[in-house]
Amino acid sequence: MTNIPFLRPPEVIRRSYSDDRPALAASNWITLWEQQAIDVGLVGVPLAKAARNYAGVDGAPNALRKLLREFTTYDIERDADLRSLRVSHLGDVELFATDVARSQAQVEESLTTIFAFQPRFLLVVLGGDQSVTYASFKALRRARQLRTGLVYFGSYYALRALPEDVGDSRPPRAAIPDDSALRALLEEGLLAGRNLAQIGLHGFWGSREEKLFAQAQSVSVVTARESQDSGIDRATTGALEVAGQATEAIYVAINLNVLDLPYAPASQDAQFGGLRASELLSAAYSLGLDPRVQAIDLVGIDAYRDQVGLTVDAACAVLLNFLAGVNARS
Amino acid sequence: MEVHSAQSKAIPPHLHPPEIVRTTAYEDVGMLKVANWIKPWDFEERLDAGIVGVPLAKSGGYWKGVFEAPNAIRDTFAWFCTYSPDFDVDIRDLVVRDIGDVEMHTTGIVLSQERILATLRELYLSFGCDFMPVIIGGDHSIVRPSVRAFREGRNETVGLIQLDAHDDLRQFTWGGPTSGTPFRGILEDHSVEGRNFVQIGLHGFGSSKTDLDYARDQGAHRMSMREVRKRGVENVMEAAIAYAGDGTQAIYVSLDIDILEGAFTPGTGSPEPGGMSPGDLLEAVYLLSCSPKVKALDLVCIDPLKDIRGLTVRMGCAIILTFLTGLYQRKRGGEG
Repeated sequence: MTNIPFLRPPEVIRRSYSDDRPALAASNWITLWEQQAIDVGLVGVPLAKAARNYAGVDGAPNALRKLLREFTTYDIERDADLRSLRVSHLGDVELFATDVARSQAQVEESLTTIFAFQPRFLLVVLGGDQSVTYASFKALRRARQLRTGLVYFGSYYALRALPEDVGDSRPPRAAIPDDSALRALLEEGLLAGRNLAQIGLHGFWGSREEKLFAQAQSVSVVTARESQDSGIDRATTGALEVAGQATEAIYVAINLNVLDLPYAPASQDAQFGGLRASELLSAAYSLGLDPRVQAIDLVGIDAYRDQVGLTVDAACAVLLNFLAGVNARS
Repeated sequence: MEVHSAQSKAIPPHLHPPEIVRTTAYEDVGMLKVANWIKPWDFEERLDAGIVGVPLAKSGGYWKGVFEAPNAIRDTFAWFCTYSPDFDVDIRDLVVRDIGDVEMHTTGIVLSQERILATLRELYLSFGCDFMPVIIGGDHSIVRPSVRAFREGRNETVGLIQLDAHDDLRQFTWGGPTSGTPFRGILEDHSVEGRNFVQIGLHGFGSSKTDLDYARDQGAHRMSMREVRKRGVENVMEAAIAYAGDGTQAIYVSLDIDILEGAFTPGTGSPEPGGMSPGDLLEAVYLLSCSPKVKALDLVCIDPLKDIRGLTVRMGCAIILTFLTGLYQRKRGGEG
């Protein structure tokens, strides 16, 4: 057995014993990983404390695991059954309660080992706040040593300048705040601006400084309105083209706050003016279908304040549509 | 009060004005609403009591919205008056002002704790200690730097009375100085000696014997919720003041709202069944505040983002006002 640092078994194991054959509940389809060969692994990263606006996104991995009970493996839209895809729960990455930098380092170390695991599988990272993208992308780069592009769906740029007063500044590293996650990847040279494609930005957020930085770095930005004008499929194809230009792998980051607020009312920092749920689900399928995509994260799901459960439900739907795309890869 | 030079009277750098300044137009003749009474402090006026918000929420094991408690309490003061029929007193002659909030760092949790220590200590050293600090958290991790700042700012020996469902004496191995550890930290810092540390109201299945044995070995006193119910609030508070005041010059009271019966406190991180009734808690607060040795209060773990109809926040307001009532009676009785 490979020792995977800081990986603990999932806190929730939810199964269904109601006899609904021939249907298969998604909760029963996804197995516990014992390092067997799989196609897709799900790992929880309940890191919430890098957020400028602290929200209950640490509750998301458990909430998602519980809600999978309410879905089956059959995809009506594409008349496809996902059950032959081998998907497992890996567990959660262990964090350190009072040190965000240390927590991010533990995430990076744990995911680096997971990304290096043989045989390889596609990794789904369940956040957590946006800073999870930083640690996870970095782990993918470290483990696989591939030039990697990034397709990002979110409401804000996540390109805010890194604070000079870095907080957990004890050497050797500082914590990365959630809204600086992509800035940090660019500044550390892990990601080229021309391979970063952002879709769905909207609302009143941050400052013009981030847009100017994006322009200077040749980042491709399609706002929510622009993607709706051109059509989400065209925007997604364009984003994959950008992220795939002269790279060997693509990483997908989806913050649920890309959705219009009523579709995901408990997404972190949600604002009106985002994508419709059907648009994000369609995009998720297209992203899953692309064989260059090696990892995806879902972040910004405030499960503790998701009173009607809409946001966790939306995240499950994004996950399953993405997996439907993966299943349809030829 | 010791006179400091103008230079030493600089406002601590991480102390910000209150984020919410609430007033209300609804005020009948003869009535004074607390929101209209407690104004932001100008750092000049002589104070009887000063409110400081310490909105640290990230020290726990999971998400809590306790960062919003100072603002929620300020806002909710619009529903309270300075007069209480329970005590038949009007406390409006006290000078109570809102000093503001200690600024928290986005990602630096331990750094935020260090800021609390530095900011409160500087506040006490620069502006004197002859006012009653009323510290609104925040999670319970704020009490360690707050007590240390109080001790060092006053340069007095301090006793500590903790009203809480949980012991908060955990070790630092799991996650560092989390909100489960502050009282161990206080004993290790020697801000308070074990024999002057009193825990009241512990109940439920949320502690470990190892941690309680540690406090006992330090000479600390503990009166569980069952014991409070048997002995009565008055008897227990008398004993607590005697233990905490034995050979000390000041008593600091730390109140975690989860000491209350869980049914009354939807707005807290760990509501526990079997807790204190609101009436008993207000009586306890009043009895403590009547003791001339009691010189500080903190109020922690109120989570307005989980609260229902503001019940828990209102209880927080009631606790502060009841505490100020005892202070008013002390002042009227000739103290200070």
